[in-house]
Amino acid sequence: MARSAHVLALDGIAPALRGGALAVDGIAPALRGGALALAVLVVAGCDTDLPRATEIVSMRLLGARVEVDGDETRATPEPGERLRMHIATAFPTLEGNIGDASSMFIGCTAPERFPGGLPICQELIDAALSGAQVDDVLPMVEERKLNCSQLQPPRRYEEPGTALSVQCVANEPVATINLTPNFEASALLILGVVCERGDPFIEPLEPLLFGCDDADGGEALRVQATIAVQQKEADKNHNPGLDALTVLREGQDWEPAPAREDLPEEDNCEGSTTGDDPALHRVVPGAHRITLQYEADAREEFEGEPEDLEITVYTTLGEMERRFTVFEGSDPGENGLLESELDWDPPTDLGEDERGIEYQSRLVRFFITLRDQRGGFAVTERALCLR
Amino acid sequence: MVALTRASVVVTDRSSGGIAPALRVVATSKRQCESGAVKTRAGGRVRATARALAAACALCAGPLPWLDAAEVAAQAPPVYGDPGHGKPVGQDEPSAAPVVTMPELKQFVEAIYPPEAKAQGLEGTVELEIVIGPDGLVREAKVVTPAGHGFDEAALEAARKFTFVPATRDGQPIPARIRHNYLFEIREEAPPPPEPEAPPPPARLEGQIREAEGDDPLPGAEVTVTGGALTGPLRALTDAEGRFAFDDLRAGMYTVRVTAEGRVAREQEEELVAGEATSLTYRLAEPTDDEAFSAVARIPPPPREVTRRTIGKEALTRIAGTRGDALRTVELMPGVARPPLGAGVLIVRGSAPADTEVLFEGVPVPLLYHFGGLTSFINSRMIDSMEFYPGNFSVRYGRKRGGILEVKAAELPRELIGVADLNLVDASVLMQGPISENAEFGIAARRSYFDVIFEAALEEADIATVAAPVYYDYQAMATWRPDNSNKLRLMVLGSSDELALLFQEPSDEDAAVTGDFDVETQFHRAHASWRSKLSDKVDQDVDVSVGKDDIDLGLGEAFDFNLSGIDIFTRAEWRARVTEKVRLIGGIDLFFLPGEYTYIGPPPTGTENDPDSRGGAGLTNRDQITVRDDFVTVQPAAYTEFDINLQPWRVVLGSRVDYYEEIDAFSYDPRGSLHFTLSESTTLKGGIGIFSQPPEFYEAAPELGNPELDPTHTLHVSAGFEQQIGEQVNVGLEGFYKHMYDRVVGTENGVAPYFTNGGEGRVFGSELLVKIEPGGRFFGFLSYTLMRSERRDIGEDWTLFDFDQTHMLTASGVWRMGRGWELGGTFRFFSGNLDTPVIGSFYNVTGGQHSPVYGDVNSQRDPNFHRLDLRIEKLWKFSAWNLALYLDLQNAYNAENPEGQLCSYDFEECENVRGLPILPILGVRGEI
Repeated sequence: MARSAHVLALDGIAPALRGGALAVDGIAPALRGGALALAVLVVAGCDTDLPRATEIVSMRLLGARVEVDGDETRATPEPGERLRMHIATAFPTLEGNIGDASSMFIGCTAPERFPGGLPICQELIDAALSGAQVDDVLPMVEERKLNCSQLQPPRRYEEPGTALSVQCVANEPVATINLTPNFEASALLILGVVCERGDPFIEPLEPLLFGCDDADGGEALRVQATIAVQQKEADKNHNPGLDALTVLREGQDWEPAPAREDLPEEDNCEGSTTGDDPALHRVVPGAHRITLQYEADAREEFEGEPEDLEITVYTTLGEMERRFTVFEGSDPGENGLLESELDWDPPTDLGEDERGIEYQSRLVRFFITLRDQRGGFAVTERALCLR
Repeated sequence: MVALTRASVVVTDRSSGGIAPALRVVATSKRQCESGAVKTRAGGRVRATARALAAACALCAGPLPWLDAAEVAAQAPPVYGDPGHGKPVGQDEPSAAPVVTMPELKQFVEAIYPPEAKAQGLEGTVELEIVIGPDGLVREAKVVTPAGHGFDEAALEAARKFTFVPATRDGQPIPARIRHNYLFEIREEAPPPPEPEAPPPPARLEGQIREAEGDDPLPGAEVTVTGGALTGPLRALTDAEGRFAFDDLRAGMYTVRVTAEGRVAREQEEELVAGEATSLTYRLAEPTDDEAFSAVARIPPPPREVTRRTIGKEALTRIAGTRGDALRTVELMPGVARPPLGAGVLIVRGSAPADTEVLFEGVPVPLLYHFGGLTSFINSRMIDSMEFYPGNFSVRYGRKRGGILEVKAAELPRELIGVADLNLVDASVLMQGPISENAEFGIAARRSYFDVIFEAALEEADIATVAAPVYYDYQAMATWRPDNSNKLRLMVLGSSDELALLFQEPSDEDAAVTGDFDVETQFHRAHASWRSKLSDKVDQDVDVSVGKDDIDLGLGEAFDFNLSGIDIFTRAEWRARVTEKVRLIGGIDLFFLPGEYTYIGPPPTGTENDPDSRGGAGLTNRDQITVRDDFVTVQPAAYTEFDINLQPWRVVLGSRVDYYEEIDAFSYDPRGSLHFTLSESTTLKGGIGIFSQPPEFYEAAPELGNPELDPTHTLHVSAGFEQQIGEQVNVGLEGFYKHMYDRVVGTENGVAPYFTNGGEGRVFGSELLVKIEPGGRFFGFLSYTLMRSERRDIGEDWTLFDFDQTHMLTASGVWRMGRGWELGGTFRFFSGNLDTPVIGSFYNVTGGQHSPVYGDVNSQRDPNFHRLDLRIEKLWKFSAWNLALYLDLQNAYNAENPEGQLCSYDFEECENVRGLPILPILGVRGEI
């Protein structure tokens, strides 16, 4: 059973979120309508055939890790600092290769108030309010469209004295931003696209803004990121540490997966593994329980309380019990350990190859992401051999 | 100083052989006669009193006005027997003694007061003996007891000019002798009494009752008139030509009820005008059988509004698909769109739900339905009728630019009634009855047990139910009529909906959706109303309502909205008949709401056409703001309306002024309507007016919105006709156009001041309503609306409003099959709700979730909605109580009726979500 009632869920509580519901005399029916819709959703949202969020069936972006030059654990740059935003990617098979990818990013000042939808660069808002056109702000955009291939190396443009920049990168999607010393806003906005293949472009007057030319069937993954800028000491935030994370499978330690080049063949992993390898368990189909543990004291303090920690486990095969596991900041854990369990339900049928021959074993990879819900991010992998 | 004469009469029967005083009556003045304050000095025959009084007063002023002719007629003429016995002979021996009547003074002559006596201030009494001939003339007059000073001569001269109705014996005129005291008095001249206010000329109600079939006059029908200034009902039976009449009625509203054996009774409101005769013709039909709808056909007076759609008691609780809930019948009306599943809101002629007001007995209530729109907030038997104004409503209603739904409280019965209703959703009890001769009470309460079903459904989900969805409501009323001009009603009512869930793990859709999910809405009201008739021409209504509103919505730490306030609404209204053809209505009202609120969540956005505001972007991907504040809403208003009746034309002109303290702004709304009675069964009508509404609370609240906003306005224009076909069928067709201006819209990109008045909108269409009123074994409705509603924001093109529905068709009927069986069906067809397609998404790498990117706003529709609801009821009648078993089957053929789309986590794939499946609701009802 999968619950993936995204739109309806939020449509259901929509009246509460939308302004109309806040009318003193109009709120009641709207809120109650939302409640009922949510109730219906909970009951009726099951048994859908829509793709599951936790199953990697194509190139996926898992999150972005922001690192400040000189302090790679810190996720909050200060004005005048340089930051790198690494976007974590995942492919369903080992054949997937980020080396073919290319990306385009625009960096700018995040709007002061963001009511929803796709945020727009404050520089564009200011320009629009003053009557300027897009090409006044992004002069490199010719004929309303700019491809990465049109930008000359180093394929990067920065508007002097502002946070506005345009950049294209190949291979690993990494955006690099130089914050001006006089950057006063509370956040930096990055918009862009990661093309699995092809030539990224921006077309500001189109609703989707970004796309990939000559993608050849590859994914065009549009991204947005809001990076908190450390204007005062209290804003400081670090990426969550992976050392504090322990993963168990059926109660046994489950070590991080070997490096990609050390992994066995995806369709014939059994001969390369042993049952007691903590990094590559050999398992048979059937429900498996995964235990996530995190050292409670390893969480960073924010406003006098440990920050929340959100964990998602993605898999290349099978079905995860749920998408999000959240350790609340107020949760002290037991014996200094935060712990949560979730089930992984592998497929009973391992499938067959192109020749119609059934697989005897399949390599399954798991991507575990950690978010502190303040911009900090980390990712780690696990793997096992399903036979 | 004035000189007065007065007379006393001593009646004797000469035929008895003597001058034996039988009765002495002294009438001192004309006014005494008129008031009945005549002294009597009875000397014998009590049975002669009325007639003797009449005779005495005839001396000065003619017949006693307060003496009913019927009373006089009912008294047997005096029979004088042996004076010594003092006993009427005729009673015991009717055939043994002759019947004698006394002479009656026909013309009294004022004596000339002797000038000298008057100058000296002398007074006197002259006793005269007068002999009256069979012709009534005075044959002889002489002084028996003189007074001197010229009084004797003056008295004799005047007395000889008296004329009488002669005395009779067994009906034959006879001579008679009487004694007469002629009094001469001098008194200080009193100032002339103030002229009493001339009573308004009486009104007359007359008419004829005919057979509905054949049009023959119907003699013997009972016509009962109540209301107006009557202290009790007036009754009359129709004559051989079926005619009836009531004279000397005061102007006002009356209820005329006509009953006849073997005919369906009929009741109608009639307004009587002073000095005018109102002539009516009613036709009574024979019921097809004894199980025909017994409801009285109630026909209200012509409406002041262009469109007033009324559903009476009989129809309110029998419509299929409503579970017998009276207020849900409003969904049958033209112009009412179908809301999204579970929203439970009223969408009238394309307006936003917040643009339509629901009032109960003239006072606004904050909600119409409990969770999901299945049940309204009030027990149906506490409702008399429902009046729905989809546009061009009276200036009596303000602060809204959409429509008005006014719910009228039931007139509480004079006999004790108890009802208990038990079905799969909720249970209710009701009791109504008399308290005293002029007071009644009614109480009702209801509670749902949907929580049991809900908990079972959630058993498998990752949700712990903290408090399952529960709703309840209650009403208590008491009416008291201290006199015929005043009526007081006290009401206490309230409603509560509560749902609390605990998400043990975050929702797969949004990591922010975790923890407590609370929805709680409550309102409680105490309402006092006073209806009084200040005079024949002026009525007054005063309403005071005080209550409490509580709203709480929480979604973990990501969203929280709670508001608590004291809700006060008062209204005073006066209705005066300025002339026979002009009525003036004036009123003031005040909405006052002090309170406090907390808002934690994404910045509010516009109410329309923003799919992101429907939550598509999720909570994780949106900013969060926190606002805690106190507020005071003060909105006073005043209105006047002239209702000019120039048959066949009727013109209503009104204006209303509102002040909105929270934005420091006024609005002035002129409104008018015109009716033309083309024939007895055809009326043409039209109207135009401005309707203003303050911005929504969040739009004008500091920090959330823009306190500098202006009110929004809508111009309503409509025209149409109504055609009565026979006794039961009414057809109405109407076209309408609304232009909205100064609409509040969100600023581009949500930048400060967040909201402005730059939007506009337009709605146009036509509505058809065919009503078959209860009568015989069937009643029903057919309503159809064809319309389009559009909006335009600043610099944008016209787009459809979120709730635009092109076609709205409802057909509903109820048929009594006999033997206590009743079958009802309702079929509905509506254009699908609008939707905005998702054309892609952005992955928020910081938050870990996707945000949708939308295509053209409202550019696609869900598939059309169609549904058949059935209701079957079996009633068993016992001697002291009734028992009913009913089945309300919603969506009988299980139509899918998609209610939006369900999309994958990355919005790349979407699928329809089906609406409410077939839903049988079984219930049992007992009535005492």
